[in-house]
Amino acid sequence: MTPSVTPEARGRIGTVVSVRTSEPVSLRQVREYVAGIGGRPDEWGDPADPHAPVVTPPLFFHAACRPVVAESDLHADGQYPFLGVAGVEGATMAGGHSYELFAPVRVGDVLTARETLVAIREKQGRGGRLVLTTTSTEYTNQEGVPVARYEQTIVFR
Amino acid sequence: MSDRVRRFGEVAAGEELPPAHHTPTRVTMFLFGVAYWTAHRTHYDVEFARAEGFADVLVPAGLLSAYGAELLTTWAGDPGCLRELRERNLSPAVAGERLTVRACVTGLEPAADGGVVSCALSITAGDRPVTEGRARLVLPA
Repeated sequence: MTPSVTPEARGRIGTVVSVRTSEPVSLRQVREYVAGIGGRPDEWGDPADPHAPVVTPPLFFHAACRPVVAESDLHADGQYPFLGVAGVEGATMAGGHSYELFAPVRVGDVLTARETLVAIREKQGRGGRLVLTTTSTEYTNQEGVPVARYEQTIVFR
Repeated sequence: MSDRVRRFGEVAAGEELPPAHHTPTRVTMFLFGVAYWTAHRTHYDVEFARAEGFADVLVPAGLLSAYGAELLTTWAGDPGCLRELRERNLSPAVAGERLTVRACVTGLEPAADGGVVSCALSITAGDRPVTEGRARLVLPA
């Protein structure tokens, strides 16, 4: 697949391209995440008090805001249709990313993620033309407090 | 997690953190996919991954980041100490590869109530670099 970029996509550089709000963070989600990264889910939460406050693992916020998508809405390769930027197409690879953490995220929080398109660049790779999109996403909790920022570069090849 | 919280004054520039080793499997990809919704077929469909030119299913970048964060916060003894983590993906990691996570203290910025520790971070599979990056942690006095 040759990557492509529409003029409309370039016109969105510097704008907010998506706003997503999470479901309330649950202890179940935290335990699934902990199991996924090789930890012990049974060590999270208080067995004697299911409502005990729980601060989530440091990078959990990113998992909490990943949208749940119907299979019929995914691309044939399983990728989200809105990964990166509408109007940029191609097979995807992670290029690089950064996490900045400002405040703890707790079970019960509702996070809002506002994603801004920072840049679209093109370069010639070993295997052909590449398109690189960079987005920056600000995460705030239900009180409007900034909790994290995530910047990501995706390589379309 | 470490038994106690590491203090800023205990840390020296050039200090190497104890490395961590992980061998994520295809089952790991399922477990992480449950939590992260990594729906891309390269992460769970081995035939698809091989057709794309990979030896096995790909380890998601978010899992590699979590391995780095765990190394740093375990060493610090405080899961809330991480302030920044930046990574560049250099080559794909696939299921079954033994990954080594390393970090080294590169800078110290004292503050009234402790200080900020900067670290260089890397993940390798054998001799092959998978990611490189840097991180900042806040430690108490």
